[in-house]
Amino acid sequence: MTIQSAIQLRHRFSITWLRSPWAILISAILGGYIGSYHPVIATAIAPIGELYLGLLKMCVFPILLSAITTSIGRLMASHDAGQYIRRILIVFPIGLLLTSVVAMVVAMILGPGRNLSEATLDTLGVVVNSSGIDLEMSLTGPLPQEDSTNVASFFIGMVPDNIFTALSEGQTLKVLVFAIVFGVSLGFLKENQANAVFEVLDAIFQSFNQLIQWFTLILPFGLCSLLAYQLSRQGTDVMFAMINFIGVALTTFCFIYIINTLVIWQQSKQSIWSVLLAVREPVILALATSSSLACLPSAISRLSSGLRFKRQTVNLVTPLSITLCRFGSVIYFALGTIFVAQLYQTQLGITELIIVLLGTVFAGMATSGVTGVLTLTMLGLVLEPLQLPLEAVLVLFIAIDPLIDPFRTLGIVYTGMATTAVIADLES
Amino acid sequence: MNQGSHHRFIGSGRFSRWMLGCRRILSAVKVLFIVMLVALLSAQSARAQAFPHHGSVAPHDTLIHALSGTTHAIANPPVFLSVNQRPSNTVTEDLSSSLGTVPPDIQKIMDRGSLVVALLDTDNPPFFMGQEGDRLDGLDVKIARDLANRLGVDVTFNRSATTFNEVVDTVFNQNADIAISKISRTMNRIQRVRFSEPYLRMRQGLLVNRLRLAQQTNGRSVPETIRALEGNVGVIKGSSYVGFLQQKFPNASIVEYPSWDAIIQAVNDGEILAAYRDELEIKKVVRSSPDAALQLETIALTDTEDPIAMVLPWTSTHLLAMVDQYLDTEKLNYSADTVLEAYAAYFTN
Repeated sequence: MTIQSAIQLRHRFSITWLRSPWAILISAILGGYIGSYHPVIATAIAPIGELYLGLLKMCVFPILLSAITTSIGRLMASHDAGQYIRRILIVFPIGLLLTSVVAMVVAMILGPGRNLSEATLDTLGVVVNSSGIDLEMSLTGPLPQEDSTNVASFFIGMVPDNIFTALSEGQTLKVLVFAIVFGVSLGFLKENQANAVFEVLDAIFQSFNQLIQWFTLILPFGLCSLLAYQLSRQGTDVMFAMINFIGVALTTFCFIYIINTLVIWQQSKQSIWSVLLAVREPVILALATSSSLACLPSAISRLSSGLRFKRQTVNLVTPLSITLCRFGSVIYFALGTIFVAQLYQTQLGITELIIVLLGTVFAGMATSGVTGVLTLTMLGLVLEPLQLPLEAVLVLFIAIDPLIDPFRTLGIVYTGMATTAVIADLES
Repeated sequence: MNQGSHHRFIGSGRFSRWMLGCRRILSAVKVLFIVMLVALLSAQSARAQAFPHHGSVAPHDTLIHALSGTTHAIANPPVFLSVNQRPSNTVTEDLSSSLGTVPPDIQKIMDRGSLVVALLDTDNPPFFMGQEGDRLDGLDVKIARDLANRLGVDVTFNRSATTFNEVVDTVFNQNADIAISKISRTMNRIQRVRFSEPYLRMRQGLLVNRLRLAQQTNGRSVPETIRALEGNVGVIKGSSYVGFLQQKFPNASIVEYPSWDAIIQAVNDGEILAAYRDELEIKKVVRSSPDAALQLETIALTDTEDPIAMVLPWTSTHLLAMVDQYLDTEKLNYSADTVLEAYAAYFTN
């Protein structure tokens, strides 16, 4: 009786229609329209999107910390720890190398940097000139110190010397390493001692998950504002000059999207339609926010509660693959490297291609510690061993990044989800 | 009681004798005093005449005398000036007519009725470009016309020189009154000619082939690589940069080209690693042909300088003074960026 009336009440005052695909579609179209034709309105409603993004990001670190710590701790306590670690160690590298190869092959076939017209080069040159990257240097005196990114500094940078600093500064990679180490040590404690901690962390995880669920109600508003703002700040000149590269990049990301969908569909043993419906939220969030971290809670919840993968495995593998593997960045760097080589008419032999393969994987993973334009400078990690210049093309990549970033984020989040689907078993 | 004793003293013979002695001594002291006073006064007046200002203890008449002397010294110059100021024109006219002392370097130009300006034969926008005559334009041409205008004469351009050093030679051989032709002020050149104050202060620049540079970095930063620059660097034959290159980049090999266009082509094709010239020419390349910006990187060397000045024969000291004064009053002090900005329209067209 009481249950019946509660359901009736919910039906009468329901706002759950905000969660329907139609609400999201309408808000996306509206956002696209405002962004394209009314940039002033787009700027005016931008704070709504910022607010929404802020709310999502607020939940990321508590979820990241609690999900990884509890799942690793419980995994260590159980007996199939070795099996999962083995799977992770096999699937992650294979996934990374595969995505890199796919992107390289697509770029080499389509050749976005080959035979560019003089008019195109002129437009690109104007962009490069206007960025004011004329180098000013002295021939005497001390050399300016540069932050060098190499393999050693990357691994040293992974360990937090102060976990609270890492948390307050939002250094994902350091928090991740801490969560793993903390989880492992909890797993080796005698069961009774660790239980209290697990319960607290579980409660934190569940409560923030609940918050994320509530936030999906305001997703249409956030989506509209975020899309409108994003579209309103796209520069058209560079877009047209870089149209070849942009086209190839979007084609590759679409191709990767289809493969990922097929993988998840195979693993989840559900109909393709229900898979697409289940993953729509993290996919839309990735496109709208361009922040892979903001999509993390949603990705976890859709995989475990939507597609019925084992919660514990999902809690561990999804954060790891999204924050560490950075498939989208790997794909983009592979495309970018081939593009630059074509632009400078450099032939890549077998050795160079292996450098590209390994370099893009490493450079992609290195982006997990950085945000913004710094993400793109990691391309230098691949171009330097190939003796290709970065500065000029970096300007072009920065110029088109507002358009590319959402798709790169989708590549990160969705491929991360597919990787999780490969590793995790279904809930029995 | 005292009075009584006094009268008693006067009356006694012993006392009167004592009094007499006193008087004698007193008169002797008086005489001595007068002598000393006279001696002092005469010495004082002598000093007062030698140092008229130092008369604070001098007697009145000497002091007045000294003061009047001082007054004279101060009062006279204004009188002298005011007398001289009023008929100053007539004085100069008198001088010129009697001695004919318009400086000979100016007189030569006046007699000829035109200022001969040496210019490099090949155009060098935005300094000098276009055909001879009215269509010749540019920063240097503008300055030349303005200078001739100030002198009240026409301007004639001598474009016989094919290198910058030859432009300097033209002036040295007195085949031109002045060279305004984007000439760098160097220690070599000043041994034969005179330079005005620089009207454009530039830094030196490198135009680097990005690909060739990336092949040379080997994990070093770009500034580090540039400081130890190796490989072929192109410079214009007979320009000041031949010397600069040996001085600043001893490890680089010099490749001399007859023209700047040939150098740009060579850098673009990767035949040479870099081109070395002033930052303005370097920046001009990527501004006028933006499609080169992907291939070529511009570097301005902040601790180098390339001051551009006018060249005059060493005998033309007065024309030099006039040019410097002109630069000072017109506040002509450009930098590479201000020149590029002033002539931006020229490069975008």
